[in-house]
Amino acid sequence: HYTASTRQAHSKHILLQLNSLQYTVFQIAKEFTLPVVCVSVFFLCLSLYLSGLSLYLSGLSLYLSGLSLYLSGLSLYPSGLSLYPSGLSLYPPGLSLYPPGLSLYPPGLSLYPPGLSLYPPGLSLYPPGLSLYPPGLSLYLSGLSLYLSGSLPCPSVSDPQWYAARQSIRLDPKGKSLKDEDVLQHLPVGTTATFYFRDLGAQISWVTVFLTEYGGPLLLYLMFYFRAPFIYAPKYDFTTSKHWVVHLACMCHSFHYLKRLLETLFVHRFSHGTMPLRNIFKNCTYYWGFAAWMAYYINHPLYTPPTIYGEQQVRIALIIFLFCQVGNFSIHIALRNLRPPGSKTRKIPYPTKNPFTWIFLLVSCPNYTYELGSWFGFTLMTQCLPVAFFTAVGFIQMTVWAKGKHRSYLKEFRDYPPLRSPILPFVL
Amino acid sequence: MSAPAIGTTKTAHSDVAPKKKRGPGALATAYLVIYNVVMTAGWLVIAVGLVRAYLVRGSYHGLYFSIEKPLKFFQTGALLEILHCAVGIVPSSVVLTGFQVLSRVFLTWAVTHSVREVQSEDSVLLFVSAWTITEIIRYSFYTFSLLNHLPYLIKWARYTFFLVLYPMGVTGELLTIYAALPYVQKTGLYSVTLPNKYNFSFDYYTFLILTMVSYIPLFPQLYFHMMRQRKKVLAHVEEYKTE
Repeated sequence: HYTASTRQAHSKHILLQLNSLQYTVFQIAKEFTLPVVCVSVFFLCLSLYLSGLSLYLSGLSLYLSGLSLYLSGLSLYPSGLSLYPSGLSLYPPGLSLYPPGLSLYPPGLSLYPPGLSLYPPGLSLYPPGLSLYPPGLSLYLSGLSLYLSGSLPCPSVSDPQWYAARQSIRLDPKGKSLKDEDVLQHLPVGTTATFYFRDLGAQISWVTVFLTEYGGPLLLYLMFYFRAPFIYAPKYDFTTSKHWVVHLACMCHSFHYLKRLLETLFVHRFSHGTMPLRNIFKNCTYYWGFAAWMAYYINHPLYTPPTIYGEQQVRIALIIFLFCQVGNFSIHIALRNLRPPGSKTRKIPYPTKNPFTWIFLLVSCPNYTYELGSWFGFTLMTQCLPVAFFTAVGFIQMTVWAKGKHRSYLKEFRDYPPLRSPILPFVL
Repeated sequence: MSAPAIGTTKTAHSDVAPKKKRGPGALATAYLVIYNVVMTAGWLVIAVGLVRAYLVRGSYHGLYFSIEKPLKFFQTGALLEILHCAVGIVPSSVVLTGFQVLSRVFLTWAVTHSVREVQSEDSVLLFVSAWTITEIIRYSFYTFSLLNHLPYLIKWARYTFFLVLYPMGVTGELLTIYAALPYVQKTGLYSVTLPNKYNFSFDYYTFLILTMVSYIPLFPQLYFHMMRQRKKVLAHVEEYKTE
């Protein structure tokens, strides 16, 4: 069936490759029929919704273009608050039709001083842009599927079925996988070596997964914020909330996910290139589902701003949120600087000159601590139960990860500082 | 891994051979035997209660009221099974068992108990009788397995009766939930509306509809899982017998 051939890449490394059938995108689809069907049904419904939306909006644009001529002379266009284009520029294929139409939108819909309606000028330009959206979306989806299949490090006609990323080669069937950098001469083998091969299943790159799972919440929240039709009652379409907390929450949420997207592209260094393909469905469901659930309530016309301590609560929450965002970013930078580019060395992180990293004295995984703090701040800011649920679930998951990381630190480094806790100082 | 349907009449533990236990020691085995015997007895009480009530009344309408208390007690008692899995004395998955038991308990308390108007429906009798027969067989199956003296009849019954009882139970459950819908909508039972201080809303009516819809993917999965289990378990015995 398949022959194992050893191929020496260069004198120090041996790569075992199994030659067999070619692995096609069709086989990927067969392996994950149910998730693929669910995803395509979801996108089909989404495109139907958006086509209906564009019809509605083209009618609206006729009215508004007349109005905009009058108002454009009066309106202010604060620049700098166009979150959309920057977030969307990360989705090149297919969506390139979107930003031109939509980049005209934010200036019109950006934060305005209460009482001054900037809507109509920006909005009159919106429908034409949006009516291009469904065809753009279908292009995007075909592009995305090509991109996903391309990002799986395999499918070319001559490649073997089990490409390197999904090979797990071990000395012991129940043991840990050998690393790419392992050298045969340094392994505990005698004159003959027996390797056990395991197929890890279809793999997808971390960067792809992160971009997709963070891009969704960014867009979904904004859809709810701008009150796209068919979400709330028709009389609320494209209205904005009268509570300034809602605008603030939108900015915070969007900033958070934008920060995550940029960190994925420019800051993080991933030790494993890939993860199992089914993770993208699982992760996206989690992030997108929760983002939609939270956004629905925060941007609801009947939303009640914090009542317990009112404005003061929101201010404190904002300070906590921003503090933790900066902290989270500092930790990511500090972790990135631990590891020179391209290497996979593992070192103990220590506090640097940046005060936000001094938490390393007490905590092993302060990025999770700060993340928890950010979401806690966001919960306080919005006083919304779904947000509290999201924070709680995230806290549980991050605690599990932090404990695992803490344990592996302790196992790997003998001189690991004893004062540190996994995620919460002294407590957890 | 096939997810079980809500309130399954035949709970499908992934246990073709529960006799293969490395976990429970003698004390745990004794406790489990007692637990299973008590549950078998309890469900027998419910069965007898149903038959007696039918004989007394002469009709099969409104029999729920005669066995309401033991049904609630013993169905809720099944929550202990989640604990058994969590502690490790039963080699089943906590999540799977939890899902099954919680769906049963949900139907008992959150639908039948909470919406009084459905208690006189015939669909209640449908699923209660399906549950009763299933549980009697299932708990006696576990009892005998723990004692390593499993009569073939019980094993056969466990893996055959579900073919009829499972659809019967699912029909009863769905009809009951469907009957409860108008009352839930009218009274706004267990629902929270906006605006409120915590910016949260929950519509029990929609939740019940979604529950009913979820039967569509879950029921076939579990049914065919049980059929596959049946082939495996009863085929083995066939081979053993012919040797």
